[in-house]
Amino acid sequence: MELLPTIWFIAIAVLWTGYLFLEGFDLGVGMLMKAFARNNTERRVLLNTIGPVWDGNEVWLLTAGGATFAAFPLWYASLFSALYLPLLVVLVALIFRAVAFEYRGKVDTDRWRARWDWAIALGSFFAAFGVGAALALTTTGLPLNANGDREGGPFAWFSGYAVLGGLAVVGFSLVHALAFLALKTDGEVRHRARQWFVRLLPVLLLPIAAWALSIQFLDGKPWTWAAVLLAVAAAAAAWLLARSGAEGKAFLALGVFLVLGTASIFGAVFPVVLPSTLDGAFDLTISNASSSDYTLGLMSIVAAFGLPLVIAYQAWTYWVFRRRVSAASIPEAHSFLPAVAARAFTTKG
Amino acid sequence: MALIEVPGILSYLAKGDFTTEVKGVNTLLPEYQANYGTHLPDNPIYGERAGQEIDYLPVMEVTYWGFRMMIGFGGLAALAALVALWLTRSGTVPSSPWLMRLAVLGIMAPFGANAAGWIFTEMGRQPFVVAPNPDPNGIDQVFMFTAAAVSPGVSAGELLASLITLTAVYAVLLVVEVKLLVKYVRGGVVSAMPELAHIPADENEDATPGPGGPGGAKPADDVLAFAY
Repeated sequence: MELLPTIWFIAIAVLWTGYLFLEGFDLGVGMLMKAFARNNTERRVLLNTIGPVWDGNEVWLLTAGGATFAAFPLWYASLFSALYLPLLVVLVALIFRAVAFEYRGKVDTDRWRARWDWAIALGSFFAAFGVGAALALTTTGLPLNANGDREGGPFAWFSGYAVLGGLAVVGFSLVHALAFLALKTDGEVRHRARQWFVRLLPVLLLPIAAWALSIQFLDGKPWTWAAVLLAVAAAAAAWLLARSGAEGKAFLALGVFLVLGTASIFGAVFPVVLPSTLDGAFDLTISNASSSDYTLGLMSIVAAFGLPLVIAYQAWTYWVFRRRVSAASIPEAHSFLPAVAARAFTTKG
Repeated sequence: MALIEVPGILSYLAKGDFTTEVKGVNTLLPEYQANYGTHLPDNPIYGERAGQEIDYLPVMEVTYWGFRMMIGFGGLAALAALVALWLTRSGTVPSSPWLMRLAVLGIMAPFGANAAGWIFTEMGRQPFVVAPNPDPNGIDQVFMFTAAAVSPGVSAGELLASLITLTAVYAVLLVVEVKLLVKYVRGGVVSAMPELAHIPADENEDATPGPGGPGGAKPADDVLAFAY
């Protein structure tokens, strides 16, 4: 077994798990802006639960992509080139979502807010769906030739697995967001989030469970089968805990579900990182897709110092913003004052 | 026409010292041909360009004017800053409308310099995507031709689609951004910070308006320092 490529395969699996754990709930909260929140104050409660943390969460997507680029350049090249158009959609979705957070409150009209609420909801949905589709396809394969290039045109990636993976991450993000809102808000929103969580968890986790199971039937190993079964148990525990009102424990149990679920998926496909659906001989593996040991060694040293630092400051962010947000903590709309009021102010001052 | 020559400055711009000879394009062309070949190797990584002759000459109009626009816009921004510094030297705010127009136009100058400079380096680097960086002892073999960097599996249609999409996204956001900027600039400081506005009628009722604006007095245990 090759040590450094294995370490970096695990590192990338950890980064993707971290990304889904963290951005999972903020993508879900974004999607819930339209479906769950009933009025402007509730939308602002939702927005302010993720306001201080969403961009830090998104860094995990960059590091997962960046680590793949540096540690397994051939994996990165084949995956990202084959998925050129879907990843373009993800990029546009992330752009609109990010600016919508900032622009939403800049003009005090319902029409303006509604427009950017749609940008947040749809941006979150397409980002989650696209990331899910890409992750599913890297486990089930793409039509790659001997050179690792996609055969069959811009839409050759499309398959049932792409849809399943997309639905898996969308569904998980929604459940995760409801658990997060129950933990992070107070009052009516908290109560309703817990209700929705209990009601929707069994349905919304079906696609991700189906993905994890189908990977087990394709490449499962005994320990990854065990991980899937434990993951299902963790989901059941999350459901029971939420029913009994233990919001924090329910959130953690759902986190355990995610960690075990992604571990079962990445563990099952190992050592293949991107299978070819044309010919098994063209599969990209941790051996034929990785950088040199020199590069990986250097990256390991940088990561050994950088990763604890990143985790420490991110944990600190969550500590600073640990209080529950409720309708009472939302100030009045930041209404725009016309220049006349401004003049009154300046002549007075 | 008189030629003003500042000795050493180009060398300083290129290498950070005053003695390096900066070679011109006509000198470099044969050197590149000798060092990196006249034709791309017959290797599939170069795609349909494999074996073709290498054109080491970038689009000279773009690089020539790109460099001058970069320096020119940068110089204009610096000049405008100096003019403003001089006119405000006694702590007064000048009332000249022309100076205000210059200040608004000045916002564009660094963006112009950035864009021109970026296009200049990217296009001037061709046909390399990673330009060779020879050390004093010889040729550094770390370089990459752009032809080798093109993704073979991605079609031209996909590239065009992404180019159009991203340009459209940035155009839309530019319109929104400029509209918001104009709106808030016209509204003055209090339009962005309503907590600064004392509306005379309210003054006796609420002596300490909180950051939430009139009526939104900040509770002592405020959860959010900033609310979206």
